Amino acid sequence: MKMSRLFRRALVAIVIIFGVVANATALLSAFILYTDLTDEYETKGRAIAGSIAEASVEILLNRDASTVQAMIDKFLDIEGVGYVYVRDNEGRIISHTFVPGIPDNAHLGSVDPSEFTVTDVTLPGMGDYIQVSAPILAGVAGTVSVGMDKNIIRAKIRAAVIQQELLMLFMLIVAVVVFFMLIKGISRPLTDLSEYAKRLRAHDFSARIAVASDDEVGLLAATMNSMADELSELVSGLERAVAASTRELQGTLAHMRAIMDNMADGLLVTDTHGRITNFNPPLVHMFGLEGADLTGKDARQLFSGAMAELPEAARSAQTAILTAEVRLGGGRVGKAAASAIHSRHEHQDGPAPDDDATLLGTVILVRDITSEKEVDRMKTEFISTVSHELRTPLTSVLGFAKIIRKKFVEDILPRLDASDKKARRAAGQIGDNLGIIVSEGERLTELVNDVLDIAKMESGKIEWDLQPVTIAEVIERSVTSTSALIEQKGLSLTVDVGFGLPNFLGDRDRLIQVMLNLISNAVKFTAAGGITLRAFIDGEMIRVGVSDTGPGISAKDQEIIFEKFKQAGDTLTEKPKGTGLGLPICRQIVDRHGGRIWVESVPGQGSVFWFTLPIRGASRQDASHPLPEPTFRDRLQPLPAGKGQGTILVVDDEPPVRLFLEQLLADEGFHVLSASDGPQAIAMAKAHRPDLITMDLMMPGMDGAATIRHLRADPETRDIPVVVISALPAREREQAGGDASMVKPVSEAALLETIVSLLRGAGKDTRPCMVLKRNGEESTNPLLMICPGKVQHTTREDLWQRLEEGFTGTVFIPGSISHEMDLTRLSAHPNIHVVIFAE
Amino acid sequence: MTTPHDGALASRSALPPGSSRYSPRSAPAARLAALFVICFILFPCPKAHAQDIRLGMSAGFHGPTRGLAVELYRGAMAYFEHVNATGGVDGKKIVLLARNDDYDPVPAIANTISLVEDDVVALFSYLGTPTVTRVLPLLKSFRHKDICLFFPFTGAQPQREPPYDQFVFNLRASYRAEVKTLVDALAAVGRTKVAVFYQADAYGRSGWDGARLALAAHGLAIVSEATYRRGTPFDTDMRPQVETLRKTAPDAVISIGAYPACAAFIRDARAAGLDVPIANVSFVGSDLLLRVLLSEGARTGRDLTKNIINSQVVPSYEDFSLPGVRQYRRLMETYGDRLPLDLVQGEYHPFRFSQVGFEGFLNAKVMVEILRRMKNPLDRRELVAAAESLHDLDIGIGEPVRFGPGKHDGLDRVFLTQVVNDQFVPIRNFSVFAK
Repeated sequence: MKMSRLFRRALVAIVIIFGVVANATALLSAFILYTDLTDEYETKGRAIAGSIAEASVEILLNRDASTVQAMIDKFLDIEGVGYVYVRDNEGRIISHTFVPGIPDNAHLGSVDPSEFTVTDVTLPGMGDYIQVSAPILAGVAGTVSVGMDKNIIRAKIRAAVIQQELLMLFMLIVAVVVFFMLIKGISRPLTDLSEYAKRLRAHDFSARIAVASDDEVGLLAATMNSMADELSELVSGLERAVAASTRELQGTLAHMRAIMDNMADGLLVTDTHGRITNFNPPLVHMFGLEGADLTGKDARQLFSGAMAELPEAARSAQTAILTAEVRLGGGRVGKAAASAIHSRHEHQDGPAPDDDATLLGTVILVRDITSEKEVDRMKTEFISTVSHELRTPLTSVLGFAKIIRKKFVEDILPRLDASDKKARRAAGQIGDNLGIIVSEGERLTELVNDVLDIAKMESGKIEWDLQPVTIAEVIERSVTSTSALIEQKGLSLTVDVGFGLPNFLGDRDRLIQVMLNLISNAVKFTAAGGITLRAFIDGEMIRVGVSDTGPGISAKDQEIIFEKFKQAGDTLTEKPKGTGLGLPICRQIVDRHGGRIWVESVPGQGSVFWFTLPIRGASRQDASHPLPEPTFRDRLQPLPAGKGQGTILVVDDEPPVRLFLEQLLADEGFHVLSASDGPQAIAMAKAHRPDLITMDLMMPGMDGAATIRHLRADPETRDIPVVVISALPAREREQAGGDASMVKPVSEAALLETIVSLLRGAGKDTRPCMVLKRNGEESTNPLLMICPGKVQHTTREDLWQRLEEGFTGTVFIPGSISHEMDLTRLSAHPNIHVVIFAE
Repeated sequence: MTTPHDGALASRSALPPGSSRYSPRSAPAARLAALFVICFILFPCPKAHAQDIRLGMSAGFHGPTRGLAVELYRGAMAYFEHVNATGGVDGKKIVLLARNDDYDPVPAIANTISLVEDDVVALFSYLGTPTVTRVLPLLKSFRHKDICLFFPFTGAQPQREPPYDQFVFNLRASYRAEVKTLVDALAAVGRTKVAVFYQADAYGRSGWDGARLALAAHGLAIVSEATYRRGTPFDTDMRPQVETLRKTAPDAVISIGAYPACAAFIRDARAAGLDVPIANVSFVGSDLLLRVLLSEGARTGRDLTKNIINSQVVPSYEDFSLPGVRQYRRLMETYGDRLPLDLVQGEYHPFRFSQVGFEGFLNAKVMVEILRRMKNPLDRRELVAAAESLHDLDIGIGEPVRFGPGKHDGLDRVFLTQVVNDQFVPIRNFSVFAK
């Protein structure tokens, strides 16, 4: 048995204490013994010397050395007596007990014959003695000297000390034994207990501890026994539960494994370091890695290209799912979707925030899309080819149809006998049929163009011209192009564009195309009511909505309308109202911008088409970085045709003044709106987008200067020229921020001149543009943006008239009607450029 | 003391027929005999008690004087047996009660008290100076009982001087006489630087004192002295003593001691190159000494008997011209097997004859003569008068024994001997020891 640590410590203490005590007492007794023995020996020596001296007087006088010798011999037997010698009155030693001889006289020392003397002598070869000398007959007869052996004293002391030490040793042994028994009584149960506890720790619950004492140790042992029982039950219960869940888990794992292995897609799981932890046979097959042991390998080393980067990218992307096309073995192509695996800790108070999610690795699913890609590619190529092949004959068909119609109308119809009703009816039918042919041909052309467009987009053959743009700009341009259409159908248009929308990176023309599509769709399907355009910031995106009050779209149709050649409603019974490619093209464009397009609709109540565009690429514009304030002169907006020469918003808090200005401007042919205060002015400016605003300064509430600042801050309204009309001094008027200022009472002629010059861009060498209307429709071709000034849409008759009046500038002719124009006559006019543009 | 040389010399001793090697452990019969003797001594038969003349003897039958004591006893007993065998004294047998005292004064005193209680007629042939010296006061205290000590085997001075001389009768010459003879002889041949080797007790002191006085008579002093402790065995190293003496380059060494120590001294002295004459006194027991020296000499190949002088107080037992010698030898042949059976421990090889035995024989012979002169040999009160009446007694040694009132020393003749042919013989011409 191992020596108890307790006992060891106690033993050391006992030994040390006993050692100190034993040595101290031994030293003390040695000292006491030495003192006592020395005294005793001296006394003894005195007694012996005295007695010899007494007894030897007579003998010495008789000079009988032999008798003296016999006497001193007696004393030699007395313990402690080392030697005795007797000197006669002449100092000669006449008797002694020295063996083998008398030491040198010098060592024995001189003796005073008259009295007792005690001296310490050291005899060579014999040792140390206490020599007591006594006079015989007062020294007359001689002296007797007795040497008391100090060696005996030392031997006695040594013996006493040894005995004492032995006694102490014995007591020490007894004490140790007693202590051992006591300690054993305490420590062995404790040792047993600790051994027992160790076994418990090692999950050995079979052990029992047998400590039967009724003290604290026994109590502890009993408690530990019962504790072990409970632990044993607990542990065995746990073990059963663990075994059960292990079986269950193994089953689940096998199940999962089977699912994974039988998936058509390849599965790859990596840990946080990009090392492969799991995969399935399809993956191995896809990458042609049969026979290789993938587990534990680094994905970056095993794969190349996108596949190698995916694990790392997915980790960085946190929760996003990344997709990439990856190159598979055998020249095949796959699509890989990678996402990070996070373990989420359950928290007591709800789900854990993402910060607490621990990244476990990434999982990558790979699908072989080779055939899909091939099919898609073939389809796109097919469509592209077909479209191109279709256009050539279509141009001829349509061109000739138009020529035939023109000739028919210009040359044949007039020559018909007006009285021949039958002929006239036939001619009418022919004219109608020709019209149908032309319109259907045009629709077919449009369809082909759209198909080509979307085919290009899908095949990635379109180059995107990404520039910083503002959504306000896009909407404005779209509205300008479609306002005629809206008015034609008698619908109202409301534009609600959020304040301070930032610019972003986008393809301006394509975005306008989206807007035009959505607006024309809305117009197309709305019989009565209005169209509302909205734009605002929604998180990281700009959200744009086009809502109508049309019949709405059923939930079923909502799902398909963004697919190619799908239209809402029954296409068999209803005449199709478009190519069915508008929305797919919109989706393509929006998708390309990283946004989303969708529809919200309640049948019978109208629809809202939403799309979002991410704000990225260009910095978000805020007050500290205002856009360079564009002046009206840079406006590319063509003047709206129709009533008057434009819309003018009159802002004044005084009704008479307002009335006067309204009358004046209306008489001049302007469409006049009026507002009585700042907020109303801002609202109306945003709603109606007037071409010009006259602004009073002194108004209750928001004054003119503040109103101008608001207008200028809003991208939608900041380009509207503002003429300040105020009674305030010139300096204040000019500081208000308007483009021009007039003093009240305003001069009618000067006002009109200023308005016209602002609207016409007077004072700048401009080259105005004229655009020939096609079928009475104003073109919205983006090419028109090259016009530095206003754009005039004219009919063919007007064009010729204006040319005759001496118009100088650029004439735009849509390509589709260019063949109808006498281009030779047109080019004969000096100072004009002719631009024929494709639609 | 048991010496190993006893055994070695056994073959050399011409043992009488009938006397055999005796070992008390040799046979149960011997033990029974020993028990009988003990019974006889301690519980004498009342019938015999009234008739026997009992003498008390205390000697060191064990220890260094064992050989001396045994041989002294044997010599005395040979004569007593002879007397007893021829009718005794006045029809009474002489019984010698022998006690062992280990050559130690204390047991000697106890033995003496015990013997006196046993109602001995006299104390006889005590052995050893230290023992006798210490017994003397006891004799004085037993004065009213008329206890006398006859012929102690010691030449010491105390019993020859007042106040104890009145209780003691000495037959042999004193050590002083022995040493004086030796000193005178040595001085005569020019050996004046005399050193003394002696036993550190009263015996040695007595010899030392004698040497001192003798030399002083010649105007000389002891040149150096060395001692040894009583009871020193033969194997003791004596070189320190030899060295002490050798430093003074003595012409001769007078050795007063027991035979083991003296033999050891001779051995070491000769080994150390101290070849001067070494003279021993009678107490050494010349036969015992010779036995040891011969044995040791044979072992070492060195003649240790050379230049050894022994003084004797009785004539040589080899001197057949003396009737005493002839009678001694005759009686020893007859009664030499008497051993103090209970007192001898271990194996002992008795001598056929010895100087000590001869002295014991002479002691007994004088004692019997004194007893014969008493009207009632059992009455101690007649003893002193009977002894003092011996004025000119011839005991067959060519020297008359003379006692008288105030004169208790019977003999004063000293005989010097040397070893020739492994035997001590009288020195006819001392000049061979001349320097």
